[in-house]
Amino acid sequence: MRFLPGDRTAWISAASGAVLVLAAGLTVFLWPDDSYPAMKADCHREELFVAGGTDVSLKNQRRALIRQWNGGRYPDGRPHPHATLVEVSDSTDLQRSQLKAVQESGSCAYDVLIMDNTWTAQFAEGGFLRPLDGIGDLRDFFPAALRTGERDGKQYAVPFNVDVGLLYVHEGETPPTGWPGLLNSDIALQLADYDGLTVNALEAVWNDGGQGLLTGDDRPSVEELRTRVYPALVRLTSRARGPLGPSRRYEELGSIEAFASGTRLMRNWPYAFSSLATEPRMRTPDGGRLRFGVTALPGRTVLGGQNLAVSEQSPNPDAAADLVEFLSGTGSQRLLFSCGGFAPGRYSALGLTPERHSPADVNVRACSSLTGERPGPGETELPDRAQLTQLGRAVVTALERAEPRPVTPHYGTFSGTFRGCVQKIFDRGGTDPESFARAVNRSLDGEAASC
Amino acid sequence: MNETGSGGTPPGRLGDDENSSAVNSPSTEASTGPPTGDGTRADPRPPAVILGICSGVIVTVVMKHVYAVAWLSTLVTAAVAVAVIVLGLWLVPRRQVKDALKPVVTKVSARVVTAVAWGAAGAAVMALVLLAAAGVHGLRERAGSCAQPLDLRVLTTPEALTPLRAAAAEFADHSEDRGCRKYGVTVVPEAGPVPLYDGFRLLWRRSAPADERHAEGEQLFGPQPDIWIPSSTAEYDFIPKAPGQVAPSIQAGGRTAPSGTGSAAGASAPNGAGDPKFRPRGSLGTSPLVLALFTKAHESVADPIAAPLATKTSDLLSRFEDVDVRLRAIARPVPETSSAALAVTPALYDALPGDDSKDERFTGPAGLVAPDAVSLLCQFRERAAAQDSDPPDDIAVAVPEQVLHDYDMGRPLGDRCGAVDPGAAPYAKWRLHPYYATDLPTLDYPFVQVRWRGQDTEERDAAVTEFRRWLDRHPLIRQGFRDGRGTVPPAPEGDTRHFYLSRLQRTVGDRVISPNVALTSAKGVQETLDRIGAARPRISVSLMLDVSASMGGAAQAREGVRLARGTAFLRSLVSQLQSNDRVGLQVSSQKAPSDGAGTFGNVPQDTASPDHKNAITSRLQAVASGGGDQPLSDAIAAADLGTGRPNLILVTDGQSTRTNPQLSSRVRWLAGEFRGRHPDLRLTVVLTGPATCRSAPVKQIVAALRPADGPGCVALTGASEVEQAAELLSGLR
Repeated sequence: MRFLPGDRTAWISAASGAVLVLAAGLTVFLWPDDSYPAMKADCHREELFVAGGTDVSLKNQRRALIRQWNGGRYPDGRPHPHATLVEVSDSTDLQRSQLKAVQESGSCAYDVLIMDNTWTAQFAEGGFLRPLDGIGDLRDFFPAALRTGERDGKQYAVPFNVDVGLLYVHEGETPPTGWPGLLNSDIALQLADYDGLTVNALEAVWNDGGQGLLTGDDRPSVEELRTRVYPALVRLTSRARGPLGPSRRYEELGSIEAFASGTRLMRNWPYAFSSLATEPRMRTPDGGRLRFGVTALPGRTVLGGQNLAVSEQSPNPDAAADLVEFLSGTGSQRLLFSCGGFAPGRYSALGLTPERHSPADVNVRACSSLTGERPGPGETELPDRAQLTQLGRAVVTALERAEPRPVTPHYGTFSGTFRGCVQKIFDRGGTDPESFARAVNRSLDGEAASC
Repeated sequence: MNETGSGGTPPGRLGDDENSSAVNSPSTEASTGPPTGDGTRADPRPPAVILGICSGVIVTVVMKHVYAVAWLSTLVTAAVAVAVIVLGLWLVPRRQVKDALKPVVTKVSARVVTAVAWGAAGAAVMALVLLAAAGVHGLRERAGSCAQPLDLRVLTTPEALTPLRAAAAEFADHSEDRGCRKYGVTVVPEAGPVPLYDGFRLLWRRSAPADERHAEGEQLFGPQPDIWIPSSTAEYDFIPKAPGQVAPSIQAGGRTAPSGTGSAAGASAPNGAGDPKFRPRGSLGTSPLVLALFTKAHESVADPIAAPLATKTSDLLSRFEDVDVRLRAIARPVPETSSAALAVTPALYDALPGDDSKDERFTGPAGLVAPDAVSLLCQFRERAAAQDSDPPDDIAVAVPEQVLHDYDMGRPLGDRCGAVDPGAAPYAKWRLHPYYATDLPTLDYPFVQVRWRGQDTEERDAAVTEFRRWLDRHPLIRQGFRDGRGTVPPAPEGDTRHFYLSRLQRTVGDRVISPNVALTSAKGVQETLDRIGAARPRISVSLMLDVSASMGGAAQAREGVRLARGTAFLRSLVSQLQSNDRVGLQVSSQKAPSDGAGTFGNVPQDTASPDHKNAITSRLQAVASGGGDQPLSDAIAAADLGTGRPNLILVTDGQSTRTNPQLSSRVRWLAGEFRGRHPDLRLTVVLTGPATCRSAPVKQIVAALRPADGPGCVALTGASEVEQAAELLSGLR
C-alpha cells in the first residue's frame, strides 16, 4: 500500500488537502456569484399584482372582482391590500412569454399568476410557484380541474375558470349521438394551425381508438403512438380533406362566425355561448329567444381553462393566497359564470355539491340578480337564467368526460410538434407512423423534433 | 529528507529501467503491431483508430461538460496542476529531486515537505472525486428530459418581423444541444415610435393610472422586451432617456463606444427609478427607403442605361413624369405608427413641388392608409389574391427595400399576410419595382439591449449577448438586408434556405437593384413629427364612448367585450393625434351621463399634449360598463364640441329602438335645430357590433347628421384598431 500515507502526519496532511478542496468546491458551488451588477427590484410593498391576459370576460368581470376585493375587508376588519390586475396581452403565447421571463428572472413583480392550465407543470417544475396549502374546501372544485393544478403531489394552482368542448346546435337540428356522426355533419371545428388544432385532434384521437393516450401524466409508448394515435389521425384526414375542409381555416372566432352564418353545428368552448347569444342573427326578431342550443359533445373532450397560482417570489404570499381564495371562491365564480360568461371551477357556483352534481341539479341565477343591477328600460338580459341553466348543464355533462392535455413541462414543444405532424398528415406530406411516434415522443421530453 | 519513509523512492519505481520499458513497450507495440502466429504483423491501425476515436469522444464529452459549467474549468485546472506536482514527485527519482531542491530544502524540514506533498495528494484526490460527482450529476441531468429554455423577448419594427422571426428561429435551433434548446425567442412587433415613447416612459404600461380609486387594472404593451430592434437610430434616440439609463454602446465587433442619449424629446429622467436601461449593441444591417412602382408603370420608366441610384428624389419624380407616369399619390404608412414613414417623409416633402401641406395630402392617399409598411403591402397582396382589380399604376409606394423584397419574394408580411407563391400570376402582376435616390434615408436597425429592474439576471444578459454574437456570425443579409456599408452582398452558391437581396434582381429585372446606396441618416423623429404636424390641418375631436351595461357584452369580429374594443380603438386614435390637435373624452350611459359634472371618464377638450393624451387613455383604461343606454340623440346633444370645426366620434354598440324612445321626433330635432347650431359638425358613429350601420336607431341618427365629407358610420372589423383609427383620422383630416 505504498500509495497510502504512511504516518499520522501524512494522513492529516492528505485529509487537510482534501477538506480544503472540498471547502473551496462547496464555496464556489453554493456561494452565488455576485459579480454581475443586476438591477434589483425593491420588493418591499404591500400591494398585490395579479398578472394574466387581457380581460375578455363579459362586463370586464375579472376587473370587477379585483375592484370588489379592493373594497373588501378581512373578518377582523382590516382592509384588503390593494390589488392591481396586470393585463399582458390577448395572446396566450405572449402572456406565457412575459410571465415565464419574469418568473425565471426571480422577479417579485407579480404575486398572483393567471395561467393556462397546461402551464402548471412547467411553472411548478421551474420553481416559479408556491404550493397552496391554505385554500379551503378543495373538494368543492371539480376534481379533474383541480388536478390540473397539481404537480408531484402538491397543489400549486386552483381553477379560475374551466373550459370544456361543447356542441352548439342550430334550432331544429338534431345533434348526433356518436363521434363518427358528428364528424360527418355540417360542423365547424378549429383546425387552423394553433393550439386549437392540438385540442381538436386530441379529441378526435380519444374518441377514435386512442382513449387514455396523450392525456395527463401517463406517457404513451412509441408503439401506442404508432398503432393507435397515428391511425386515428389518418382517419380524421379523410374528413379534414372533405367536409371539415373549411375548419382548417378556423380558430375560435372564425368558427363562431361560420356557425352564425349557417353552419349547422359547432364545437367550441363555453364562452362562445354568450358571444352567440348577443348576435342578432342568433336570436328571434323580438330578441327574447335564442335560435341555437348547447349540449355536451358526444364523447371525450379536452379539459382546458385557467388556474390561479401564487408566485414563489411574491413578497406577500399570504395575502396573495387570500386573493386566490377570493377569486376562486363561490361568490366570485358565480359572478364569473353568470356575468362574465366563463364556466366556473366549483360545484357550488352552479348550485351543486360534490355529492349531488348531476346536470339536472344545476341551479344558477342571472347576473342581475347577483349584482342587483337590473337591465335598463327596454333592455333584455342576455343570457337569462334559463339560458345559463342550459349552459351550466352542458358544462357539467361535458366535465364528466373531460380529460386534460398531456401534463409535461414541455407542453409548448409537444403542441407545436404534434400539430405540425397533424398538418403533415392532413396534407399527406409524407410522414409515416414511425416518424410521427418518434417525434411526438421526443417532444414530450422537450426535445425539438418534427415529422 | 527521510529516504526510507513513505515519501521515499519505492523500489523499482520511478527511474527504474525495467518499469520504464514496461511503460514504453505497449506504445512501441501499438506502433508496430503485434506479431501474429504466422510471423506476419497484423494491421496496427484498427486498434489505434478505435483507441483514438474513443479517447477523442471521451475528451470531447468531458470538455463539453467542463465548459458548460464555469467553475468546473477552474477546478479542472487546479486538479491538473496538483496532479502534475504529485505525479512529478512520484516519477522523478528522489535523488534528483533532492539534488534539484537542495538549495531550497536544506532550510526546510523534510517533515514539512512530506506534509505538503500528501496535502497536495489529498487535494488532488478530492478534486477528482468532485469532478466525478459533477460528471455523474451532469450525465443524469442529460439523461432526463430537457431543461427549460430561457425565453428572450424581442421587440422590433413590424417591417422587420419576418426576417427577425426567421433569424430567431434559426438561433433557437442553433442553441440546440442533443435535441434540447437552450433558448426560446418571442419576436413581437412594436406599436410605433409615438406609443413607444410612452411605453418606455411608463415601464411598459399603456397609461398611468387615472387615480387611486380606479387603479385596479393596467395594461401592458405585451411582453417587456429584452432586446429592442428599432428601424433606425433616430427612433432609438427619440425615446427619452436619462444619462444613467444608457450603458456604453457595444459595437458589432465587441468594441465599446461612447454613448449619448441624443434625445430629440429631451433627456430628462422619465421616472424616478431611471428604468429601464438601454445598451445599444451595433447595427444589424441596413435597408434604404425606396420608391416603388407597379410593373406597368415600371416598364414605362425602366431604362437599362440609367444608373439605378438617382442623386435626388426629385430627379426620380421628374423621370417618372418624363415618361408620362403621372402619380396620383405616393403611398406611405402613417408616420405616428411607422418609423419608416417618419424617416421618408422629410425627403418626400423636399422632393415634391409645393408646400408641405400639399405634399402631406399627396403622401396620404385615401383608401391606402396603413399603420406600417407591411400592412400597406399586405393590402396590395390581398387585392392581388382577390383578382378583382388591377394594380394602381399611378401610385408609388415609399417603403424600406427589405419589406419590398419580402413582398416580391412572397414571404409573410407581419402577422396578417401569410406566405404566397411569388411566381403565381396574380402576385406577379402586382409586383413592385424599387427606385433609389441618395437623399432617401437608409435605416440601420440598431440592436438595443433593454434591462428591466428585477428581471435583470446574468443568464438573461448572457443570452442576449449570445444572440447578438450569433447575429454577427449569421447576419441579416441572409434575410433581405444590406450589409453595414449599404452594399448588396452576393448570395452564396447552394444556399437556398435564406433570402439574399441579390436574388430579388432575378424577380424585378436587371439593373433595377442598386448595388450600393448612400447611408443617409433619418432625421430626428420629433423634428419630423413637428413638420408633419405643421403640414396637416389641425383637427378638433370630441370622443364619446357608450359605457352602458350592454357594452359589457361580447364584441363582434374579435374576442372580448364591446367596451374593450371601443376603448382600444379610441386609445389608438388618441395616440395618433399631433400636439396641435385638440381632443376631449366623454362617457355616456344612464349611470354615467355625458354631461354629468362628476362622471368618471369625462376629460374636457384641450390640446393633445402627451399629458392630456395620457389623461384620456388612463380613463379609457379604467372605465367600466354599467347602467342603461343613454339615447344616442341625448348623448350627441350633450357632447362638448369644443372649438374649431367639431368632429364627434361616437363609439357604441348601436343600442336599440326600445332604448331610444320617440326616435322620429329626436331625429327631426337633430336634423333641424341641432344641425342649425352646429352646421360644421361631422359625426362619425363607430360600431363595436352587434348593430350595423343599417340598424335602427343608428341609421336614422346618422342620416339626420350625415356630413357631406365623411362616412357618418363605420363598423369595427377584424383589422387592427391602429389601422382603423388611422383610416378614420385620415378621412377627418
